[in-house]
Amino acid sequence: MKKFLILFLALGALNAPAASSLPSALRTDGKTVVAAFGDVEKIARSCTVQIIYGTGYKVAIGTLVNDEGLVVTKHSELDTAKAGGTLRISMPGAKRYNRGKLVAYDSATDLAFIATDLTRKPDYTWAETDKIAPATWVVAGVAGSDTRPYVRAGITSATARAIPKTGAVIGILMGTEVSEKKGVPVREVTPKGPSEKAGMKNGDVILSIEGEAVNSTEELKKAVGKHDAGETITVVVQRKQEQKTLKITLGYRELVFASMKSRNDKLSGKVSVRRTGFEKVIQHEVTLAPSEMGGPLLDLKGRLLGINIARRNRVEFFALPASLVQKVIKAKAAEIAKASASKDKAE
Amino acid sequence: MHMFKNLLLTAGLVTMMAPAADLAPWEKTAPESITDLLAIQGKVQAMLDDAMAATVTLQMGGSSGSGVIISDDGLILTAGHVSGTPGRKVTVVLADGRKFEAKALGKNKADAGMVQILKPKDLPTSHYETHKTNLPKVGQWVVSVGNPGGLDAKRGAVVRLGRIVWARAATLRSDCKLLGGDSGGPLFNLDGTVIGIHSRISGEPDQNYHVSMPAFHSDWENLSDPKLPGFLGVTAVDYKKDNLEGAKLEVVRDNSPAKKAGLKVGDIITQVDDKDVKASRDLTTLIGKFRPGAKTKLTLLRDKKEMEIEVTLGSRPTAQPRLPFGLPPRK
Repeated sequence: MKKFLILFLALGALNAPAASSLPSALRTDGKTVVAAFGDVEKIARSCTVQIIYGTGYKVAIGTLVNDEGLVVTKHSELDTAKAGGTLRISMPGAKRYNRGKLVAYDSATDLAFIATDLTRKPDYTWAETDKIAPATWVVAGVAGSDTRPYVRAGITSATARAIPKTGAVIGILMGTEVSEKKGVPVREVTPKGPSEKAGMKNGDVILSIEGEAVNSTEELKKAVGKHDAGETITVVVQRKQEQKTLKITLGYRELVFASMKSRNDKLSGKVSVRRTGFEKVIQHEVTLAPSEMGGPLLDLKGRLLGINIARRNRVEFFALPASLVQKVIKAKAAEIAKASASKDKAE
Repeated sequence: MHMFKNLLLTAGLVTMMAPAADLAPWEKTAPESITDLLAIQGKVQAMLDDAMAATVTLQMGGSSGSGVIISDDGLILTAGHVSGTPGRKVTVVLADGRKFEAKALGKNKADAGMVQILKPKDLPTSHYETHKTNLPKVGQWVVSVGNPGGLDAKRGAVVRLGRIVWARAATLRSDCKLLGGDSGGPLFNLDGTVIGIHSRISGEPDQNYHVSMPAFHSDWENLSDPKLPGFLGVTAVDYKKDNLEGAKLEVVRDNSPAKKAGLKVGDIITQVDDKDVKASRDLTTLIGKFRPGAKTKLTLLRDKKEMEIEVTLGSRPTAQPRLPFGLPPRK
């Protein structure tokens, strides 16, 4: 009897943590809970694609928007692919890759369009309204696997609204311009900042931004200020006797200059290179990495509410509403058709 | 013994076979279908308007946090590290845009804190768990509201859904995703009752801590009394010798305001802010007139030399709710 009691107590102790703490499968993001979204997961798998660059570098998620293989995604995440390189696309669970080509983009919404030879018709219907009640379940399509679900769920968490543009910089300290000379000298290139990554050196003199000559710090600020973070601009600099052309991807002031970084940004890990400057967004709480933007945001009825567009921080995520996405698709239709046709001819 | 074992096994089976069919979707171990999920969504949306209306932004100088109004007369529950020093000025911003002046009341080691609106008028309020020892169940669905990053009028407060991961006497953990500025905001059950207050934010977005309601209830008077006396943390006896009268320190408590200010056993205190201390009772009375957080000057004799020491008073520590598995309170 005594022996048994000891055994019993020992078992009790072993069981205690499981009884007092919620097992991970039962947490909001856990396997068992996500299984309840099975029907929506099927729809997500019919339209979610993984966008890959080069030899397996996963840059973004994309959403199939018609049965002609057109995929939309987040432009500023395409990174080096923006230069026009060939992208590869894979459907969830597919063994083979499809080729994709960037055929158009819209800088206002940061949406990019990729033509592919996919022929699948997506199973969702477009949401007819942008008015989505707060605390509505939403499901984001992501790249799953045999062991990880192809969707992640959460709720809409704040009022749909415009997100005003915030300051983008190239990451330098400007020197004093010399009135009789051309350009703006670079006193110091910010470590790890956009300019350093593009190869700028201390002492370079910036001559032009996107073809526009800059001869004062004011002109330089104005020229940079026209662009959003995440946008890549062409900058010509004078280095000794040489002129060099640099491609600089702008970053947010508060992230580029380490001293300006807030505690919340420090706690938030990687955030989207473009997280502001949107006409309208739906805010939700589904945890997504910056490289998981571009995928579909669906409701429980399998309606496409929008396209995931930004991780602002670790609790605030934005999707562009379906109506805005459709508007951009319509506006870009001719450009997309033309670029897709030239691609067909070339192949 | 065999019988005993069988009995235990049977008991175990009975527990496992609890009538699952009768459970509401939000009471199930996990939702099983879209129908269950929609039922949970319906519960959340039904309580949300009132919950959002009662959730406020608290602004203190340059910093900001969240809180929830629980009474018509303007009592707000928040985190102790948000309300801060008792007596300090707080601006309360409501969801409807109205602003109220307020002041910080008490706080305790479990990170419970309270704030009082000075001239309350037509305030939205929320229910809160009034049972003094009730803790939420593990796995229970919860709704977090707060202001990550501080006040954003166009955005409003941000709502998140999660489940209770564990519940201990003073602290709850949920998988609701939180960030700086959420601190002090309310954790609701699906009936719209406040069952916790956001406290510590961990490195992982979905591993965050809330002050439990028992941590408020066990300490309610200390937290809510705006006339709370200041606390020095010494035991003194009357001292009278050679025309010198005062209060001689016999004990200086560890971690007390007295210890931090450098007071030592054997010091003879003769004045508090230039008012004479002729006996130990005078010391208690004079210190009690100050509020926690107040600075006061003590005149004392040490080794026959007169000196002055400035001390910042604290609040009297009360019996703390137990932290069984020892998570240190937030500093």
